[in-house]
Amino acid sequence: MSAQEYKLIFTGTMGAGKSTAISTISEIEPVSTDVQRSEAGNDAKVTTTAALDYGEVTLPGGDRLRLYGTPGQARFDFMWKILSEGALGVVVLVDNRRPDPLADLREYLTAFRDVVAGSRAVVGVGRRETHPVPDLDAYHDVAAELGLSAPIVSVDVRRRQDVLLLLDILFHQIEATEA
Amino acid sequence: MTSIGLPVRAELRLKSLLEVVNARTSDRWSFVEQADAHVAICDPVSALSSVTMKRSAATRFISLVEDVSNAAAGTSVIRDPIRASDLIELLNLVSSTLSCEAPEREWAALASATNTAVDGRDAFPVAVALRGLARAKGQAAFVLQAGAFEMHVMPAARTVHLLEPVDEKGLSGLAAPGVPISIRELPATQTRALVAETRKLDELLWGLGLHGEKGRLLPELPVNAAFKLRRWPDFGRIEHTPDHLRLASRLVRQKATVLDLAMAAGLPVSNVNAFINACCLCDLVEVHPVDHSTRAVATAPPARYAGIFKTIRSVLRFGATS
Repeated sequence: MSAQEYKLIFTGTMGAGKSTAISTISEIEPVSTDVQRSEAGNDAKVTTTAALDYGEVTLPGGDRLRLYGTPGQARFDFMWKILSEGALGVVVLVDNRRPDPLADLREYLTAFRDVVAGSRAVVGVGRRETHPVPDLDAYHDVAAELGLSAPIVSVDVRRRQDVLLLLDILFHQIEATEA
Repeated sequence: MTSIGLPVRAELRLKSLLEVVNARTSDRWSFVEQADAHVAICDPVSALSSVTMKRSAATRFISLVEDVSNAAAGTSVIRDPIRASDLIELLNLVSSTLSCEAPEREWAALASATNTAVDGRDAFPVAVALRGLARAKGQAAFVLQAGAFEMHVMPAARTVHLLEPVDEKGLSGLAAPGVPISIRELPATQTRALVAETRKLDELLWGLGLHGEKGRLLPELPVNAAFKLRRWPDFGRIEHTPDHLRLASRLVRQKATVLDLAMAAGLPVSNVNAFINACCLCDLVEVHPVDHSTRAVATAPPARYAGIFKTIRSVLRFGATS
């Protein structure tokens, strides 16, 4: 039997931690296509992903789990759908420091509406320790306004356990849906 | 216990078996001829069963079937022929869900009742009082004295200042019944005095639910009800196990009783009780009447992705501490 390939997508705004999350669990040095940022941001990040991030995990039997990080800027949104085709699921990362993180969530839930509606998405909200507002209820309200529902949890994607938590929740959700 | 719609021989076998297992069940059970019973073993295709199920919301209905797929919707299942061990397990599960008599006590207004002493004879006095304070509006802070333990509750900041650190054992002590508690408003000048540890309010409430009396539900939760989660708990901030993720994934999609959830997930009722209590203290639980028209919680494991997810979890070492 030929080796299988599985795909997980990490998406979110610039600085939300997609590259970090992938590097946290990838067994290879992640391939990034970072360039100098041309857009102003309110963080210290000087580069951003212009195309995509890529990492991978080798599974028994030669199977592979491929990890893709989408470019953060909305002008690359045509790539989001292409990347998500055939994916096991999508991890949406939101940065609570951003000027309007709820609008960010709205944008990504709308872009990945089919994936979210199929219970194949999980949302991780970062930097809630330093920026507690908006709270998670506000995020859930945004999802509900769009007629969607998804697991939304606080994370620090620099911590491997937090990234694994996102994947575990995603997997449990898919398993419950398929049952 | 009673039976509904069973053939005479099956009912006689059930009565005999009940006599045999009664010495090994946690409570003593008796067989009654009327439909008003805690448990009814029923024939799912019997019209009498269907009618009785619609009328008796307080009774736990168990489908007696050879094939689980033939069970009536909204019922638990026991296989025919009944094995003594299955009947014992079933009756003990039901016993554990019946052990809580829910006193009608409204704690939501507790936050406004400062300088109040509560005798704490009810279950979960600290947890329920803390949750009441958590709902307080405005900038007021409160001192919650629980036995010799003192905590300062800041509802607006969603934090609790503990005057001494509390570990898992300490949480169990705080969650025990009979802890005398008192509440008073805390003058602003005294906040943060001698603080040993600051915790998120929801994290502490979650811990009190999880480590409290596992054999019973919170006083406000009816035993014969179905529960559903409003949303996923914030597992990024609270202690959790894979079982909690599994229970949450089911309960955000579908309402279920404690017993059905325990049977479907293969978990002790006490663990499910603890999870429901923790979710309830964090205001995540919706309570629904048991609806016999809803599908019973699925017991079959998912096949399509189970293999690959198990592999990924193993390779990435989910749950490992390092």
